Amino acid sequence: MAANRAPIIASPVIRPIALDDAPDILEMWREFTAHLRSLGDETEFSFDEAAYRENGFGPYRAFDGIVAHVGNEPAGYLLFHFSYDIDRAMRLLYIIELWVRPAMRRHGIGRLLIAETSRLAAEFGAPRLVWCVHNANRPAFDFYASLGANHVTDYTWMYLLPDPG
Amino acid sequence: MAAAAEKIQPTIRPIAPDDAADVIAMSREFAEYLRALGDKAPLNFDAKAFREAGFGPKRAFDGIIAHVSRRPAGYLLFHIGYDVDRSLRLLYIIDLWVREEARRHGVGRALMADVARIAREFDAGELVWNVYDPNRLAFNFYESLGAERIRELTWMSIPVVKL
Repeated sequence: MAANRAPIIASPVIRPIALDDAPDILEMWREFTAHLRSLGDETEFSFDEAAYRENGFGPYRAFDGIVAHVGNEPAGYLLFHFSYDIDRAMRLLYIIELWVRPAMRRHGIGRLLIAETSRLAAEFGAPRLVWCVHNANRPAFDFYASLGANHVTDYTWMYLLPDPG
Repeated sequence: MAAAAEKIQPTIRPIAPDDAADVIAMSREFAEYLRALGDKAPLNFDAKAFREAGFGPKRAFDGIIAHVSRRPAGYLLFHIGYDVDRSLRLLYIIDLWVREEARRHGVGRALMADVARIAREFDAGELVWNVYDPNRLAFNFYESLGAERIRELTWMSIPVVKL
């Protein structure tokens, strides 16, 4: 029974992000961070088009990504970079962000983004995807659990600001 | 006041392909230490993986190595990451290990200070890493530097073959 599914006219198309996607990615990113804020995330959100262009396409590229469209409408995106697990001598693909617009949900776009990302990971020799979820983000946990993902429970993440100078 | 017999100065420099044997020997000590605390991760890192992932065409990590009196005393491996929400480059520390006999001479602090310098060079505003929960020594060390625990995020993973 799919009575509550909105009709979707075209199939989703996934492709690598491009410079010109800046306004679309930023618009979707604002929706994502509004969602996080509503869950209690107090991060000072500060991504913008200049940061997208510089860090996604500049000389010290910090991330790569893919974007999903349905017809001409941007429907979701996934940003990532590569990482490494020394003990396992294993390349990892680290998902920085995944967002599917609420109006576009329940049509498999999240799964398509993950499937395309795992294809890219395999191409790069990375047999594992890793990411983190804000503890209050229940829809994200439900989605990832439906894929068969595992919680990493025996490690604690830490951070430190490098001393200026 | 009993002065230390000799002031030991660690020297820190970037890793090189020829450090493979030294880094692998130290990474084994680190893995054995983690194993003794209950870590079950398989230990597959070897000289080939060091050369390929550290110096090959698709470089996965970079690193620095410390020597004390010309003997390898510790190492730190890292890569650069990115936090989209804060529009902030990050430096991920993959591994940091100081050999037991080289401890208490500031080798760990010297490695952290050098990696902070590298982070600034890369415009990375934060160092991040994870600690195996039973590794109390590591928490003590990092907290002595002023590091904080990230409590509001849960880390997840999935093997690609399952997708």
